[in-house]
Amino acid sequence: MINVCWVYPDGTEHNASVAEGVNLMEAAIANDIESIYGECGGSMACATCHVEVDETSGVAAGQPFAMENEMLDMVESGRTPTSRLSCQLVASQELDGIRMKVTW
Amino acid sequence: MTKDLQSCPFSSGKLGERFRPYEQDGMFEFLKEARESEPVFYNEELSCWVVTKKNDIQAIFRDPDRFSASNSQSPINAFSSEVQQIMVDGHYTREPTQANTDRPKHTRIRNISGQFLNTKRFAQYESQVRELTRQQIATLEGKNAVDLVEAVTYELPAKVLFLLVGVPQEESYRVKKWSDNTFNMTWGKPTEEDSIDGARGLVEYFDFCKSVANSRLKTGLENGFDGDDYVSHLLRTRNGDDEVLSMNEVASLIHGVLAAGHETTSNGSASLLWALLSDREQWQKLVKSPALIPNAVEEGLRYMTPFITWRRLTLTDVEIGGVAIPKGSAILMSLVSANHDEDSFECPMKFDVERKNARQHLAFGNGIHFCMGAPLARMEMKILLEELTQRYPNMRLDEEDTIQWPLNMGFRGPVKLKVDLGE
Ligand code: HEM
Repeated sequence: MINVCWVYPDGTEHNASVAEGVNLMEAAIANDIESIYGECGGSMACATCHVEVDETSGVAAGQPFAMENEMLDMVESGRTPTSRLSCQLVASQELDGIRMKVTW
Repeated sequence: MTKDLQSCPFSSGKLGERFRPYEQDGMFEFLKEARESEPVFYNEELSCWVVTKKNDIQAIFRDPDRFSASNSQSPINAFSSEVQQIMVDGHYTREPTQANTDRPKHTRIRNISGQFLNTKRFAQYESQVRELTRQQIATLEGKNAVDLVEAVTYELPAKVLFLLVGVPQEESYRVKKWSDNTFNMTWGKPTEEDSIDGARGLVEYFDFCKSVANSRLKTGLENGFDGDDYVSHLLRTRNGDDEVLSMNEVASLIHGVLAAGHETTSNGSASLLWALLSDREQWQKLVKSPALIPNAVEEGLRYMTPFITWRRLTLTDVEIGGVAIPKGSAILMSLVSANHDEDSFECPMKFDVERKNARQHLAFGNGIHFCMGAPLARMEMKILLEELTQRYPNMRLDEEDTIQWPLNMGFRGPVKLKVDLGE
């Protein structure tokens, strides 16, 4: 299990432990995180699981995949240098302690 | 809950035989019984396996390796040879490009159309959509009793789409008629006479799409492809290369977006207004707190799903909900049933604009084919409600008029919606 944290625009934090191997879009839905919908089921065909990784937590956002990159350009709230589709972030020890800003 | 949703259930007998796929009366009770007693059953009339639980349906949507989308828009009642001949003679060469196409073709095309059909681009149309909505609502001025379907929800979404596709608004009525016909031919129960007429309509409709593609190509070749509409985007990306996108694919994509994009939104809007006005407390909530409108739109799509069913074809032997289904079988996913599944939605028969998880419905599908127009449809429905609740807060359903639904196994929305504007 790893610890993950979603931060809402008003600053409130929502923490959960997530089993390794689970993608963080699925984890968000399982934890009723607002504004994460994952409508395309993780096929990088929508951008409804967009998060901004807060690298001050010590966990890096990493590089988006090519298809993911294109979808990130279409995020309505605008993409940032640490934007990711959370369906492409799979829980692993490397991501333990990750903080993600949710946008709406 | 409204009386229409409570009406008598289908008569007793074996579940698969009692399924009345074309009818609204008793649908909700029947699907509830199915979810409880036989969530996956076979129906001979349609030669389909019917799946009713949300989790099972979501899993199918997310498994394109085993479930092909190729049958999703095939006519449920096969065309007669005479009808087919009319289409051959009329050079009806529409080909699968999106919803009924599998990978890799689907991916190639979705990547191209997705550069245009996306949230960010749709947001640029917001003020124009609002303007069109206001103009449509302005036609109600001075009236009191109106049919909202005829006066507002029928044509408005087509006008929005025309903006995107770059087609003159005057064509919208003609395209609506062709689309009605297409939906009746695909998911309805047309008589042979209707079908023969309908086939001519399909030919005319596709000719229209071809002519839009060709004339845009001609002006593009003369003046450059710098238009900011969808067709110009497709032609620009194509850049003369059939491997990227053929001209027949461009025409098919125009047809696809024109067909997918407005009947759905028309039905969704009319159903949503009907649900809201059937329970005035819900309508009042929106009048007082417009911030609830986006969630009300989701709840409307959940409660009265515009495409009540959607199809897939098994590419291998599969098991769904413990039922073994052979390769090559047609699967009918009851989206409306998924959206009323007690395991996913509390008190599913209650229409509640404040429902927390309303957006977890499957009205737009799920997975690689997830509806590309969803952000636009949501915006259109939101704007319509914002404008109507503010301009006509006292609007009421005309009690005298009982609601009617089309005879269609895929596609549902009120045929008319008579209201008193309360002025
Ligand atoms: C309330 C309105 C609408 C509803 C209920 C609806 C519903 C659907 C459904 C059920 C699918 C199939 C999804 C799947 O197989 O997973 C779909 C696909 C699609 N829709 Fe919509 N739709 C609506 C509005 C629109 C609009 C406005 C547009 C165009 C601007 C549009 C364009 C498309 C396209 C292009 C696809 C095919 C996507 C693909 O196969 O990759 N739809 N829609």
